[in-house]
Amino acid sequence: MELHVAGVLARARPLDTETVAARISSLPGAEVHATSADGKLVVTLEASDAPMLSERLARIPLVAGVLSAVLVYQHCEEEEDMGDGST
Amino acid sequence: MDRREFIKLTAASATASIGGVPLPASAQAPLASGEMTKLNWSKAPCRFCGTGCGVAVAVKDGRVVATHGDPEAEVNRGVNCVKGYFLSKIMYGEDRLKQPLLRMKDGKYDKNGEFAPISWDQAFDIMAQKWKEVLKAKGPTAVGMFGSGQWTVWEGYAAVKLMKAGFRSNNLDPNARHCMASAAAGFIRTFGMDEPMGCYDDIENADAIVLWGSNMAEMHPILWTRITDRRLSNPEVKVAVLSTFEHRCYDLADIALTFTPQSDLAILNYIANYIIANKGVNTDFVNRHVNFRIGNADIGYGLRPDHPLQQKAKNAADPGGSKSATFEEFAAFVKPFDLAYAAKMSGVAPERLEALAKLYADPKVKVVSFFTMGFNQHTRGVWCSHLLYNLHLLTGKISQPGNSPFSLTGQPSACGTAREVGTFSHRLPADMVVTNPKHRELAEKIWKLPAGTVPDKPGFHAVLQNRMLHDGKLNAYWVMCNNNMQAGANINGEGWPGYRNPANFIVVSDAYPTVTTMAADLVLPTAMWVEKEGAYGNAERRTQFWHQLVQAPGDARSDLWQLMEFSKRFKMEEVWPAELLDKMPAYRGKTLFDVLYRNGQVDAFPNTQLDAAYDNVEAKHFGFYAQKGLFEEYASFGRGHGHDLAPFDTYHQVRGLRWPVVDGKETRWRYREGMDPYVKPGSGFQFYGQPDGKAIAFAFPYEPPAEGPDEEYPFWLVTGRVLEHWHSGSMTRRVPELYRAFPNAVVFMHPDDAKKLGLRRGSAVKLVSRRGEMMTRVETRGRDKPPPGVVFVPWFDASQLINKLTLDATDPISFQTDFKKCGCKVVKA
Amino acid sequence: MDRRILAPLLLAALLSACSKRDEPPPAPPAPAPQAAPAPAPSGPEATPGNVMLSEGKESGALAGAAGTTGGPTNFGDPSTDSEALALADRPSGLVDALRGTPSLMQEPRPPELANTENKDVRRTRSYAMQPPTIPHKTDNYQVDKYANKCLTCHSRSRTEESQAPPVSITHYTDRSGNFLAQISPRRYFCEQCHVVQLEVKPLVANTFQDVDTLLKQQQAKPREQ
Repeated sequence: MELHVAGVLARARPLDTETVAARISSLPGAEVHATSADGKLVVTLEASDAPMLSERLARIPLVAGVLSAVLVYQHCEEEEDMGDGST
Repeated sequence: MDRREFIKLTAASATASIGGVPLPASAQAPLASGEMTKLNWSKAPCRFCGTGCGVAVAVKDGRVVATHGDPEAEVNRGVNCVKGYFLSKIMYGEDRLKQPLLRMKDGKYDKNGEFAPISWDQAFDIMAQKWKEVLKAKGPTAVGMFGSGQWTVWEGYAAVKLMKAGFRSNNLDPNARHCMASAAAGFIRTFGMDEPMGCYDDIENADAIVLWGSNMAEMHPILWTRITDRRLSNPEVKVAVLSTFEHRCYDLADIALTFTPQSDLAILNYIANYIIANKGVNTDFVNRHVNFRIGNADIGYGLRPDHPLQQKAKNAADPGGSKSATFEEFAAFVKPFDLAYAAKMSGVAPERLEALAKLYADPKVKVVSFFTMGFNQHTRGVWCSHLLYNLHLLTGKISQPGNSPFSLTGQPSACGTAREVGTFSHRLPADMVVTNPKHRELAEKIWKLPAGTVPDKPGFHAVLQNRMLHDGKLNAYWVMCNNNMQAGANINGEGWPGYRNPANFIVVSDAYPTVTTMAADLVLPTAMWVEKEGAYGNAERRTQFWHQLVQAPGDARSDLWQLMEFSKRFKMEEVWPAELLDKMPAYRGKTLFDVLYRNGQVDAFPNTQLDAAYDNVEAKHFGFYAQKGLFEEYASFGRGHGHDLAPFDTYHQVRGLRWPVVDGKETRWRYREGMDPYVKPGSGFQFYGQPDGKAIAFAFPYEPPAEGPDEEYPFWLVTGRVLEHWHSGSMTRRVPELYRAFPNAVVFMHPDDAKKLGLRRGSAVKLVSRRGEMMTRVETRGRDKPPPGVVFVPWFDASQLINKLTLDATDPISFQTDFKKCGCKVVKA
Repeated sequence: MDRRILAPLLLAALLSACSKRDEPPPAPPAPAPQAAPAPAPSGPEATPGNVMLSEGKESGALAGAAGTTGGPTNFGDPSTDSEALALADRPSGLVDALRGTPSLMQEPRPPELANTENKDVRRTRSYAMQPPTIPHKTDNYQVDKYANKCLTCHSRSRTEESQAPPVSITHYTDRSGNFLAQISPRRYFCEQCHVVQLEVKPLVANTFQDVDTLLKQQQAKPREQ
């Protein structure tokens, strides 16, 4: 198993931000960590392989109210490295 | 929290910082144990070339732990080249210099002594003593400084003030002299103002992209990604590459032109002739916006005056001279440069030359011409840039999206610091020059100095500095933020004897031991990159800031700290004559520091204005926000004069802005109505750097290089860079991944040439010129593929000093060295 | 949108972002040769203990000096130039490890050309967004506007067969941040970011520490107490 994580900066109209955040949060593997008054959303996406992550990424711009989405950060590693960090 | 959470939070914090979104506290301090505190992400421009990519930098526990391309940075939009991706490691070479080192014997300074560590106090004691001795004995022309296009804006500005106003010496020149002096001279002579009129957005708007002596695939890789994107997404777009040897740009080229060195002059004139002969001239544009002049020919090669080539040159005394001409006279001048002549001179197939000429002549094709060291490092480099401007001026393909003659720079702030601040031996900030009394007067007024402070003669330029060191006429010398013993031409003949001349005291500030520090008398350990707050200006006029993110190791201090702290060692009476001080009696008893940096302007901003999230060693040491004060004083030179910079604080918020920044808006294309606020309505175009608003097309002939191959030295020697290493390699060769990608220099040569000499790939060879020799290994299958008769050697390798061979011939107008042409032989070793 | 649909030959192949940790991480760097953090820079006295010089030979940063003494030199007179230069070239105690010899006048013999490491073992990356280095030879690979050899193994459609790591998802966005169905042409020339590694040892150790190493150090500390 692998863990793939992406950080995505999405933009929405300021008034729509919370609605859009809720919509994104309902997507599989997605989590909204923060929003800003000017309509920016800090999103992470999780997936167990690269194609799945690609597919999940591609959905973000399609969410109603999302004006743009930029992939900022990407990380992946093998599941066996994962544990609790104490090894 | 488990590792999955940690990775997610790392991704979230990186994303949040790029977007400028504050993360809620719950996301920031996820663990009670504190063992997984978040990374702090900040923005910074890359430390290397003049492209000026944005980088996201992660800091944890006072160390840089990660870097990647900033997706919000317009220049690179999330991509870096391999060097940029490894920026995290450039500060962590194990052998960082951490203490000042002085050559000593029996506890005292001795030029023939061995380096021993001393304190900063002792370092400045001996330095000040030497400077004062030299000033007293010989005056300001015997002190000098060699600076850098890697200096931050305020470091360069502090140096200009210290040298030109403080010590009253114009012997200040940057290593950017080796890099883009020819481009700067060409811009100023044709447009009356330095730097490109366009910007990188030209790439996405161009129909044809022409590379004139520019290996962008390796030297400006991120701009090359933009060109690749443009070309591959739009098959109708054409890429033409001109070079003296085949390199990686040829992988994308539609028209590849490998020409005989120096024949670029003939090709350029041929294209001008083709445009005129084939009705490609934009007559309306030319009539309204262009003047013509015929320049002096036979101008020599910037060699020492007693060199036979200088003695022979008719116009060696007036290399920049020219006379007015009509369009018809210009047309007649280029007429002999027909296709047959250009093909014969260049060795390029006529159909390729014609295909290139057609791109320029066709009014429907928008053309960007990029040029770098192939043009600039050329004994006729200024001519080359003029002849290229001619093509864009004749056709009116200029100052519009997709139509630009565009010079690229090799250093991160060759534009922002060396050119805009004016750290050259003849310049002052904002394109002003020391020879113009009005410019000196304005500088003295802004600096609150008496009239006559700034000397009116240009100082020694880079190449002249080495000659004057050799001749014992320049005796107290400070080299900062560069590695000129490796980078300068003719090491054996000028550089080394100059530095080791017993009459001279040589100070070198650097982060690492280099061959230049080895040749020094005093070495000062220096903070680098994000160990200080900084500002760079890239090749598209974009000014970019960064904060100090980590502490420098040991006693290493920034160049700014060193310049300002050293100035405290001089009382005004020790550096200025009584007559000058009499004009400003209030300065009696004060120090250079008081007069230059505590002048009510540089110290105008208190430390309460610092961003509390970041440290600032210099501000805390001096007691005021020195970077802000220096920047705002410097910016006052250009505001309202076409060089407008935004307020200091703005730049910490944005990903850079392209000057002139007027009413908060940057300028992407200068000299074009509607795009540049300085252009008068109704004029269409206005080259407002010139008094009549018209650009100048200069006519020049072909002239041969200073030295080429002959029977004894049968090869052209061309020097340059490779992708993985930046300049002298003092940073990149300390990054394991970059070192292992390209550990040592090699001589790239044609397999047939190797075979004739009984050599094969990997053979050890001695390369020999009239001036020196070095040893390397033969590469016949590498990325660079010279034609027979040409060899290419990169200069990044401190263990292979190729500049022992190169000739210190310069362009006589720009004084920039030609590192691309001299004769050499290859001998089995 | 049609511009985004590129012929397969235009696709860039760049290595996947996944770091398989089957290679041991590099050995921790040797401690820096310098002394502990030095006192304030403007302190009145020299920092005692010349650790740099005494350990110079080991670190490679500073070589011990074995020079002879020489009388005063005089430049400007050509007859004494070479003599003076030879004197001036004695070891000074400071050597650029990247040059490797204390002399600036004597050019050293270059090492033999090294081979490319060709073990096909993925290397640990230093941080998440670092482009993976290439763990195999790429001699004679055609990567130009007509063809991209890297892609024949690393493209998404080929990795099942080739078992090579697929191109990272970061390569599927254009300049504007749009997600593309195919690799962005701006990522076409793989070697701008991904480089091979030759079988050579670095001349200077690098003390960079990645996040995981720092975290482990932090974890180790409380246990010691």
